Amino acid sequence: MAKDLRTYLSWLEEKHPEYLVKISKPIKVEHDITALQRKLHAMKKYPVLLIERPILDNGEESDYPVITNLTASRDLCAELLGIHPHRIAMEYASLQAKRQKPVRVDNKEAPVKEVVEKGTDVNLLKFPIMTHNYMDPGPYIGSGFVTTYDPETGVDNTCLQRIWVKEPRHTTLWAAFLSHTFQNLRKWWETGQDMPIALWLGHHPAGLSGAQSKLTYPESHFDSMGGILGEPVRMVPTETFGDKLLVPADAEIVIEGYVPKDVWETEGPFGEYTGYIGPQRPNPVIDVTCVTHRKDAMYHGVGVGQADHLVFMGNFTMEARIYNHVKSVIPELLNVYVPISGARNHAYLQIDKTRPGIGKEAIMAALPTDPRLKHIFVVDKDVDLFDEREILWSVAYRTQWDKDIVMVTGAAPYPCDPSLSAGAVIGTRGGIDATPPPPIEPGLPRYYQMRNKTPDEVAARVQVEDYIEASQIPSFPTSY
Amino acid sequence: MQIEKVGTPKDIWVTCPHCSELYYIEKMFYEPQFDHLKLFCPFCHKEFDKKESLKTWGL
Repeated sequence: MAKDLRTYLSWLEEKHPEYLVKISKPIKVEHDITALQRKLHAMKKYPVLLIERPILDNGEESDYPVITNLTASRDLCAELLGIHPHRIAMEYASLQAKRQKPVRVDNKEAPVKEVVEKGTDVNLLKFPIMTHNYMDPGPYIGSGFVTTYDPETGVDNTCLQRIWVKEPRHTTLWAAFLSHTFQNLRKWWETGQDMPIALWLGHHPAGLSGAQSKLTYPESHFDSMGGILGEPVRMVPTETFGDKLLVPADAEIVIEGYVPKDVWETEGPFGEYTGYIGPQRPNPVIDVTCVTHRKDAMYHGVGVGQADHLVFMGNFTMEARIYNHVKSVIPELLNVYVPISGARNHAYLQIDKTRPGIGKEAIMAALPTDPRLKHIFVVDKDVDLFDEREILWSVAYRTQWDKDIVMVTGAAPYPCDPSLSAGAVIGTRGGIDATPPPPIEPGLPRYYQMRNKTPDEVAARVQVEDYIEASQIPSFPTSY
Repeated sequence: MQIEKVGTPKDIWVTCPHCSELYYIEKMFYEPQFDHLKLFCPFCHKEFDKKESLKTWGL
């Protein structure tokens, strides 16, 4: 059986039934579902949520449930891949590299073709599309993977783009100027044609992560999607474009249409992955020609601007890319972590500081790997890379501002950054080398004051459960 | 106009003439190819022309 959202949910119910929460109480798609996710985030809890009775903007109960928080938990996403959550940087890339060419299947083998609606039968607003954040002008598809193709080569491209559903068959499309989608759009418009486009939602989370791989242009994402999925993606021709544009046969919903030449409309504001509300702006539009979906389709709504949007839909890929690039020049690199706290602007690097200068070299090697990276923190191997208290402790006592900061002025900025000035074509990126000096001779300790600790043999011997009942621990107060 | 830390601001703040709520837009709306586009208030969902903004900052 091909992997899809349903096989994932079966896996989840079998392995971790406590992680899947089915909400049977009616809940509005306008803000309320996102509010629930935010409250859970404040508690640092990320269960997968199945909203069985979403209430549409017109007050009616939707025929389709919402599945969300699918890609929020780092531990759960890592387990899905069979990787330890602290080894994503080293092992995710090897999954991506095992590319698998997709396979074409017929319509009758494609669950996403169970229902086909064309022309005026199409009504996107029948789906429980969420209005996510304060100041969003209406319902946005935040989990739609947009597939287009290069008119010159026919090679497809896929990425996650935001889509405001303004009317039943009309949406906006934000294709950032730096994106491959926009490169395709520009080429179509230069030939005087509308751009064919398909938007697909709802698939196995491993596949969704693979579809977000950072590739060259033009390069199909379905090969790397198959790599992470562990099997070739089954593809089916679109109703509108046939074999020129294929979509995953096992998706929940596919939306097909055209991006009409030189048509721009007002779009946004929209609360983005950065955690900020992006401004209202002119953007192209999609005129929808067809929708196909499973009879019992689930609407996958990602929690925009939250862990759901960051962890599996980008951070894993970034960690792998940073790791591979920096490791090739700094073999002392041990690990990389892109935390949700930095919304893709931060990366923490751990090195084995055996020689002077490699902390700063690691910063210089990491920065060009992703245009969003702005702050790199480098720590030594005695620091728990995945505990932000330890990262900040390293900064507190292992840095001096005049010696340990790398600042690259005149670097390429990332347009979504609200700290940039108007029209900025350059920005400043950098990092903090929070490592201590290396040993003065191999085999000696770091030439620096040593960390507090209990003697190693005592730490190994004294176990909490020998003195305190495990059942008491969850009720203990925390601190910060 | 200069803003602390940011310098020349990227965004233009406008005030909806229908509901008087504030929000911000990209400077792109002032480019000739987009000048014709009406703004859309995310609060009251009504359209308005840039010139109708009750108060505008950042130009």
